[in-house]
Amino acid sequence: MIDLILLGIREIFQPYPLIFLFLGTIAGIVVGCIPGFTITMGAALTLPLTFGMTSIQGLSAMLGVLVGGLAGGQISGILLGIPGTPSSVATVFDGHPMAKRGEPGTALCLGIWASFFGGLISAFVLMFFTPPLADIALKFGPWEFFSLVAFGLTIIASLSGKSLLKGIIAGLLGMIATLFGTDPMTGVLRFDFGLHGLSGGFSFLPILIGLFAFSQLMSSLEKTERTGAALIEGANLGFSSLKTIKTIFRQPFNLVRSSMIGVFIGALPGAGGSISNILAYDQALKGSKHPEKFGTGIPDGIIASEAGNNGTGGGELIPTMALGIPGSAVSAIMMGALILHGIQPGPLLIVEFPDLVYGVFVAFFLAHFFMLGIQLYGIRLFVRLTRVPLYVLVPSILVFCSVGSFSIHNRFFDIWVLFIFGLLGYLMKKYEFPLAPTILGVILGPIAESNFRRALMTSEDLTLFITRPISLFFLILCVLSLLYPFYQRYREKKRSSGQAGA
Amino acid sequence: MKEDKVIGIILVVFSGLMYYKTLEFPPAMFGTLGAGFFPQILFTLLAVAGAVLTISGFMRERKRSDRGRPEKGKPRETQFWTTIKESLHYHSHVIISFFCFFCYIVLMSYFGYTIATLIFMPILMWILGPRNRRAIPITIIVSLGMTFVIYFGFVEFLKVFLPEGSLF
Repeated sequence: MIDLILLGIREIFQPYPLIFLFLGTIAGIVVGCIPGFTITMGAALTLPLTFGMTSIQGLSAMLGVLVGGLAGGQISGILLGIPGTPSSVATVFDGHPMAKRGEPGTALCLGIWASFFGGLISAFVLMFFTPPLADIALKFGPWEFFSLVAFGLTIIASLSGKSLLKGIIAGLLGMIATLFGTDPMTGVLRFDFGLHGLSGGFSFLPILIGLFAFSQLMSSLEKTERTGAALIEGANLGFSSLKTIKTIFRQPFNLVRSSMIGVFIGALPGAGGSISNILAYDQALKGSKHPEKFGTGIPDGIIASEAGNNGTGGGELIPTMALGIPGSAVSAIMMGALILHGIQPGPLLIVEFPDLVYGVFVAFFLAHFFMLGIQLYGIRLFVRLTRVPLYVLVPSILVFCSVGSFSIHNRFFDIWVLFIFGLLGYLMKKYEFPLAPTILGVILGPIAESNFRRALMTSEDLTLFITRPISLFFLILCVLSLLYPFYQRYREKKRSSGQAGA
Repeated sequence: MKEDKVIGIILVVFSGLMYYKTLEFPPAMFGTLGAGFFPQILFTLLAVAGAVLTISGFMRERKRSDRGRPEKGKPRETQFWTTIKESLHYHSHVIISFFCFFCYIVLMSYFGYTIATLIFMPILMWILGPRNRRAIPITIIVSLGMTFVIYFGFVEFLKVFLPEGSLF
């Protein structure tokens, strides 16, 4: 094992792979922090640039984009309340309140270091546990995926805030939004109403940006006079890396658990890696002694979300490198890069090209150091975004969001989707409907439907959901997750009656 | 909340109409679940949730005290219009921004990204901004800068398409 890692180090520690890794990380951070642009887009735009490179140089560039993108989404999420990528949705829950409280620098610093440590943990798992984890991933059939997704949907209860009913409605609306367009199993056109645009359905990214960006920006515009007010007034731009590291290390269980959740979810192809940050946040909330503080701007939420988020990066590479099955769209593009260079991905890749595979692992590890350096150096620049007046910020972000929404599929209809969901998101916020369950519904709805139907196509025996051990495990977690709010209420009653007795 | 009752009713009606639409989908083939299976479950759940929201809205309103009664000597109608005026003032920038963005999309469909953005950005910045001498150069520089940086970055450097209009 050590020989293989040294082989990988030899591949990467040369001028060009290091330069492309560094440049890729910068590109990833830029793409990640702009709402409307995804890491997948960044990787897709990098692919043609790798034609003239060697395979390891091309993969280094793409790994830089992956790591930078995963960490970059928190910048706009924390400072503007608009997640830059789907992987930073949960970072907004505590990151933005902390920034609004006047501590944007501290919030960013926490997110950056949590991303760094979370990514390093996943890099460690990637290097030493790829084969056994890949074997577990292979055992997942549609029953297991459905049960996992069902468990993921129970998180709606944690994200609903004051009203569980409104959270459920928001989640259902998210799942309903994915019904429009072509049915993935039968090809039947659903709810197109004769409109050409609707036949392609609603893309995920315009929904995400519409819901979060518009609701956040428009809420900031309420009641403001034409005085050039900024998004966050009186922000303290200072931060301390040492204090941040101490804060993170005071919660080692939160950090490791969140990162492992990211690794696990990332390792499952088609599980929706974007939910790992939300799942990690939910588990941190449930395991905390002060769950009521989540959402007010506490470090625990930021640490969980960003560690979970960057843990996904390593997880996605496990099935890609070990089995030739892409863990995500980004790893699918990386496999495309391998094929372009005449290397066939598959289970034999690790045997036939160990230098390449372990070079990828080492590059992934190293990318986190580049990401850390670039983002820490750039914090002082990033936090100045909070001082930009709203009358400059709002139109600029709206333009970026429009361009981003259009660029995904080159469909003009996606800009209309952005507008419609922007209006919906603003109204939801006004009438106290939480937005996070909607996003969860959009991500998990299609996975739940296709896997449930696939399971029944394979076998009509519904008991398989219970008799298959991994599926049963997730269904038990599902039940526990649903019972958790009642347990929490019982614990609060016990605490308050204990205090009254004293 | 009074709005909860209305939202609940809207959700029930919406779910009902959409559920009816699913009955038009072709039936399942080869024993698979048809295209309407999952939508029917979701719309049923949404209708139930909407009904519960409506009922809870009614129940909460019954428990509330007489806050909505008109002040002594002031007719109810005057209060209603005062509330509307206050609400419009409070949300004026929001309404204008949504309207401008709507117009931006329509403009873009005819004139393409560059022209539409060059019109949209300065107008919205002027409406939302302080409208003083200092804001003029900022508005011009930011509008021109953003439009052309995005254009050159995407079209020239990354070879990514931007929206094109039907006329230009």
